[in-house]
Amino acid sequence: MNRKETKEYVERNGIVTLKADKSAAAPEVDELLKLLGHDVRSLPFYAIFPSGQPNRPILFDGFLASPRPVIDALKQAGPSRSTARLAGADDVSQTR
Amino acid sequence: MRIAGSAVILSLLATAALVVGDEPLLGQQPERLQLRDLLGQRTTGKASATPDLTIKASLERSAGNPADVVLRIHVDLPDGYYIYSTNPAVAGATRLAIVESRGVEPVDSVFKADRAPKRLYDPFLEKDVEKFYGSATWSRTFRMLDATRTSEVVIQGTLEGTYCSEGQNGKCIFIKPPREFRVTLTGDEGVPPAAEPVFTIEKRSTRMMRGQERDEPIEFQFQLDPPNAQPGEEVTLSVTARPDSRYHIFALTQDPENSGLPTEITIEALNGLEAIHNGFVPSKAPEINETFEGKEQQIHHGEVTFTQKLRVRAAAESNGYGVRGKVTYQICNPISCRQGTPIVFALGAIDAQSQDFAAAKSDTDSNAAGIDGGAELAAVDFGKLKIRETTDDSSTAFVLLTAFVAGFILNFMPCVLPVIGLKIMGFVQQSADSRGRIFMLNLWFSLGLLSVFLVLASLAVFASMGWGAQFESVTFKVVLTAIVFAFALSFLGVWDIPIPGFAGSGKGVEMADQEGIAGAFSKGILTTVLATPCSGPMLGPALAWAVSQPTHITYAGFTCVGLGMASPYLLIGAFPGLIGFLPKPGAWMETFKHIMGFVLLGTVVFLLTLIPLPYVVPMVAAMMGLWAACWWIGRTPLTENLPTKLKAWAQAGVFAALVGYVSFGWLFEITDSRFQALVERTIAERGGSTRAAERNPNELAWQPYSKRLLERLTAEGKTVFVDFTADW
Repeated sequence: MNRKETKEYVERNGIVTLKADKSAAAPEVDELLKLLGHDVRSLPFYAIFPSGQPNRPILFDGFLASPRPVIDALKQAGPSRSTARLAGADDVSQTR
Repeated sequence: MRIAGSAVILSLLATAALVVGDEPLLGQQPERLQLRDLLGQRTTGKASATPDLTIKASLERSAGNPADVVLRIHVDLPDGYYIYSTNPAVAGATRLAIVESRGVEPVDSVFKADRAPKRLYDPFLEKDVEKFYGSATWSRTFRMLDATRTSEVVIQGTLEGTYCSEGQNGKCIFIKPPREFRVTLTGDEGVPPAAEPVFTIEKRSTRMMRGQERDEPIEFQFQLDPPNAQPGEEVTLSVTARPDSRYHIFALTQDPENSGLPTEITIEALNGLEAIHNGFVPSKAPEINETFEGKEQQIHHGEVTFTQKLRVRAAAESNGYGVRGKVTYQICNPISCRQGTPIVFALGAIDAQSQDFAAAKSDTDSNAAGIDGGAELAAVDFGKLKIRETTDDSSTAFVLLTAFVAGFILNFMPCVLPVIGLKIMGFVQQSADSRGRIFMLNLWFSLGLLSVFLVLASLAVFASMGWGAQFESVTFKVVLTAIVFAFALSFLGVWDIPIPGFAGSGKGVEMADQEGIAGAFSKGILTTVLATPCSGPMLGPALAWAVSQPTHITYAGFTCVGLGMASPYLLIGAFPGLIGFLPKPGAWMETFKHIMGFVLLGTVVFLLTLIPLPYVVPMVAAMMGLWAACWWIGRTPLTENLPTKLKAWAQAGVFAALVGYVSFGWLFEITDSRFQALVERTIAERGGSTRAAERNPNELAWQPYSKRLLERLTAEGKTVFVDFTADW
């Protein structure tokens, strides 16, 4: 997860990363997991809320041995809107 | 076929065009996140159901010792999963707990695994972890208590932890809620004789407190009435709670958000009965109690009965009917609340056991207890319920005594000693006074002393400030150091403090009759304030305790410290004869006072060590300014007229303020920048191995998840990546 490729991609596309930590009781996190239709007891789990289409999140789970699945899913979601114009067509064309 | 295919391709193209057509609209208002309408769509993997583990518990006679029984907990894991060992090094470690054991006492202190776990380095947790693959078995030996019948032995407990799969799509599953198990000893004595069904039970549960079993301050009565209803007729299940006087429980409808958990009655199993309406009804309306935080509690004092109507089913004719359930509650006295030991009841014809793991049934659902019409074990016996303590009221007296002793010891702290020295001189002069006056002065001194403790208690109660909390503030430390330094100067004869009773000391003016009530009171305050820097280690535990206590206990604790500190003065006040042990007034008093001045200077050094390093030099500079100001005041004789004295005071005050301003403004800038440079150089010399540098440089800029943050970010048109994780 915390790999160079991931970090670069995330920063270049203005993606915001949130950590939903369930180490201690976290009702808000459980609430979101339930809304996403996922078993609240089963972790890890990932959700990407694409820019402009936040109600169609991309979901996946499992321990990640390589940054590939994350970057693929982030490409599918596309960059943040505000940076899309600045970052140039390069990333956008890959996703659309 | 081909036409249909083209149509599909065409519609796909159209969709693509639409998507592309979306592109220029970047500036428009982004779609709002509707958390309620979220619908999952996975990219990798499938919507996987959580694979469950199986737990089997058994209780058997030990092969070696017939008085021993062995409890075994066997866990079968889904394919490809592992479970952590009981080693608490990881947060997801397996935790086995005994909730209830009857007729036996543990021999082993812990559960032992039947084999050694695999010890592996976990790259995600970045440490070694212990895992069991496929299955795991833990056992623990118990000894049967004397005169215990086999049929009476019951052990009930829980298993908590995490089990995980490995590899690309590996994940961890919390065992939540904890899995319960309950075992009985089966075999040699055969089936216990069938008891007559019991329809009324009165029970008081117990809890373990400091190794002793004590009654809960509440009694319950459970009743199923009438006991001989015919099919189709109604019976009433009544649960009567009788909290002891002074105690209360919360209503069924208490909102847990409002400080206090509701009483909950759960029907776990019904035999030959069905519920007519849902929910228990209380016999009286709850009292409304407003907490000092303004929260509205719904409580019951005294006896209250909760009833639920049930109907006898047709099938009950042959087997009779019964109900089994559980009550959980919070029991409170005016001081504190505690989770009561849950109480289980079984009435009429029903199996008293909530679960049967002894059989080879691999049933792990805690609610799946079968209703066995044949069994008629009705009496509930609450032998040994072990519940962890949350509060312990018996220790209050002990802590108050400790507080008193600690207060007494405060008198001998170097911070206080100089003022006490002054006090002793006061005593010497008092010896000439009348008894009544001596007592009055000592009383007022003690009251002044107590008033500071009451102010501190109020701070603890209303601002949740601990004793040491005030010392967190640099400003407080600086001001206190300055005050102590000014007193040292006064003791050394540089100036005179214009407090009654302090005045005139340096000039050898008689101070005997000058100490009025106000002087005694202010000296009491001063003594206590000076005691604070020395009190930390002595009073820390007692005061930390006091802060976590209800209001009046906090006040009691602080008052005890104050009384402890005041006790010598009250004693001397009551028995002025004790003063006779002190030397007669004379020139030694001046010497004594000067020596005490140096003790106070030592206290200043101690206080300087508490001040953050960059502030120390400015503090010293400010003290020099203060010295000059005090000297200026001291130059004006006390016999001068008031305007002259006020003028000197004003000049000194302005000068001290100016020096303080320059010290903590300009001088602090310099010392602070030097200090920072030193820190940075030291870090660089040590190879830059600070915490920040040790962190993964590729660590993403994670922010903690919150619903509002997610809503805001998505509304701003950001792509948001949420990582759901836990420290296993």
